[in-house]
Amino acid sequence: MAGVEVRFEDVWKSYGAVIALRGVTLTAPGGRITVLLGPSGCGKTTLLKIAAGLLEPDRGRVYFNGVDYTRVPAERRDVGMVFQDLALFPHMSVFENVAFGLRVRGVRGLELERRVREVLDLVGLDRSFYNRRVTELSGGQQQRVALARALVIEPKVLLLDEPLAHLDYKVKQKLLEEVRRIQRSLRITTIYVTHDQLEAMAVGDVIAVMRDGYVVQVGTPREVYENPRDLYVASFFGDANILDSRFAGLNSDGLVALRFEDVILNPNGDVDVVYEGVVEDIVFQGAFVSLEVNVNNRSLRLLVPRREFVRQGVSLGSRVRVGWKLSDVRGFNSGRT
Amino acid sequence: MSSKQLLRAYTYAIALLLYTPIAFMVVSSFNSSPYVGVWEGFTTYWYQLLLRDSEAHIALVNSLTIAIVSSTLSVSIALLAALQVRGRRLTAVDALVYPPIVMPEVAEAVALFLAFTYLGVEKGWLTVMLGHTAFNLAFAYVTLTVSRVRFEELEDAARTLGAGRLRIFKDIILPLAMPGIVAALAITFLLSFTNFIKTLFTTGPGFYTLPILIWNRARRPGISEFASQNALNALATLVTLTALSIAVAYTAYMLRKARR
Ligand SMILES: Nc1ncnc2c1ncn2[C@@H]1O[C@H](COP(=O)(O)OP(=O)(O)OP(=O)(O)O)[C@@H](O)[C@H]1O
Ligand SMILES: [Mg+2]
Repeated sequence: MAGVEVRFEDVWKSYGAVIALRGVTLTAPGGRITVLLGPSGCGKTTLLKIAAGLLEPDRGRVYFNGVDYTRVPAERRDVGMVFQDLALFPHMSVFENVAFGLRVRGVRGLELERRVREVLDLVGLDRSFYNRRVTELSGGQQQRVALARALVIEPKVLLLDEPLAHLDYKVKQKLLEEVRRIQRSLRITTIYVTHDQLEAMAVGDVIAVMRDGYVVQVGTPREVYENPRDLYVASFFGDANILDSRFAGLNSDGLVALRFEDVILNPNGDVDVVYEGVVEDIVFQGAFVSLEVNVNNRSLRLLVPRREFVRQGVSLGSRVRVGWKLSDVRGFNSGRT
Repeated sequence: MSSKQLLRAYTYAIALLLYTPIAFMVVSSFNSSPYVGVWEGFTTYWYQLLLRDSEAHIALVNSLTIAIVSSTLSVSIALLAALQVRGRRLTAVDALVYPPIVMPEVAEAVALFLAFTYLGVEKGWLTVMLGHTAFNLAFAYVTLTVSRVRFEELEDAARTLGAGRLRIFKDIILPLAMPGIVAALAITFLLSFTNFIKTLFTTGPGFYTLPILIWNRARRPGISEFASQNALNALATLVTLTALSIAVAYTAYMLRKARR
């Protein structure tokens, strides 16, 4: 199964006076993970609920494999959804939560047990959990139950609304890998909502950056990272210095973006622009060290590999040179910020 | 006296005020004299007498059937109304529901009396039951909405899993709303079972409930042995006991819920 392609066409939605979506057009390719990335309140959950059939758009259409699904009710869409607040059934055990979708479909007895067991194995919950109340599980365990409950019905489309929010770093990494593994093995079209860019890069085949009810840019993580359409995308997806165009070395007006890691510390040749400055801040980040350098009262951030940082022996107050290639400077046609 | 001691004294005083008449009634129901205040020894005679008291049996059946039907009916209707409300918005239903709660009971009783008379309905079981239900509806609705009957995210989750409205009602809403439903049933049952004023105004010739029977006999203590003071005390004790056991059962149910 190649997976169902989901297409939104000019989708609008408002809640009273609040316009949550302003004409979203987007294709989530079959069998892939499409990430909706954007800040809080930009309309991610609203778009997901429209995909699920829980909300009807005010205008626009939703297609599953080219078939108009706009008016198909949620209960007939075969869509698995993990809600932002999980929405596990508090009065049911782990087993019953997962079994619910199958019972609704009339699956009974041994077949029911087998399928629930399979999917709970898949998300890594063993027998000892089956009779536990969902309210007595840890956050990570609850996320797994929610994922299992959505997967067990073998949905055409999987909708994940910040499924790993509120988890600590390690658990999140582990579950991220599992989501990827499960999605690859089942090849379900997945729409994954997050406001965390690292999570987005880790799981996304396609990334759709959203803002204020619009999709601003769509592409693979690499495309979006290397060619952000505007300053907003540049600074939201990955970190960038927003600089005056002339300071950056271009012969034009306006603002440009320069990725932290594209600023080179004490370059020897091979750069087009060089400035001198003073190190004002050093943040140790593990594999990388983030430096803030003051150049003529402008502050520049750069990201240096730890080994390089150690080799150069830089410390607070050091005088350093910083430079970059003009080809790494991102200019934009429209000056929207 | 400290304010704490004062509060304690106050609590005891209230309890004393509240429970002395009831204790007096219960003790008197075991007095072998037919009159209160003259203790002539212990007896269960008045309770045995109740076994032969066919009027009391009729009243009990009337009281119970009206309370059961009225509480079930009012809670069902109130539940249907409460289910239509998405979110915690104040709606037209709320505006309609609150006035009966603050309206003086006599005024409401008169209104019911006039309405039934105007419509020319024969007064009896049905009019009493409908009168109780009109009033119970408000209490049932308030109890249900306060304790919550909508679970929007859970309902949405169930929908994506393929559940239709009926399934969602049966498997999600009903179990989760059960504490509220039980509370509403208990409250409306008790309101109906113990109601006097509205019953008095909506009843017709020859139809009576337990409170009405007790009132009729209390007014004319001489007419039969069944109406003697301590026979009445025995009857009233049983009515109180029934109401109390409903309250106790409800508390036990809530405690069990809370412990799980
Ligand atoms: N039920 C509602 N009633 C009124 N306004 C709403 C409702 N749901 C969402 N909104 C508004 O619509 C906009 C988009 O909301 P949405 O929940 O889709 O955002 P989101 O991108 O999922 O945000 P978050 O990352 O915080 O979950 C927000 O401005 C929000 O306040
Ligand atoms: Mg959201």
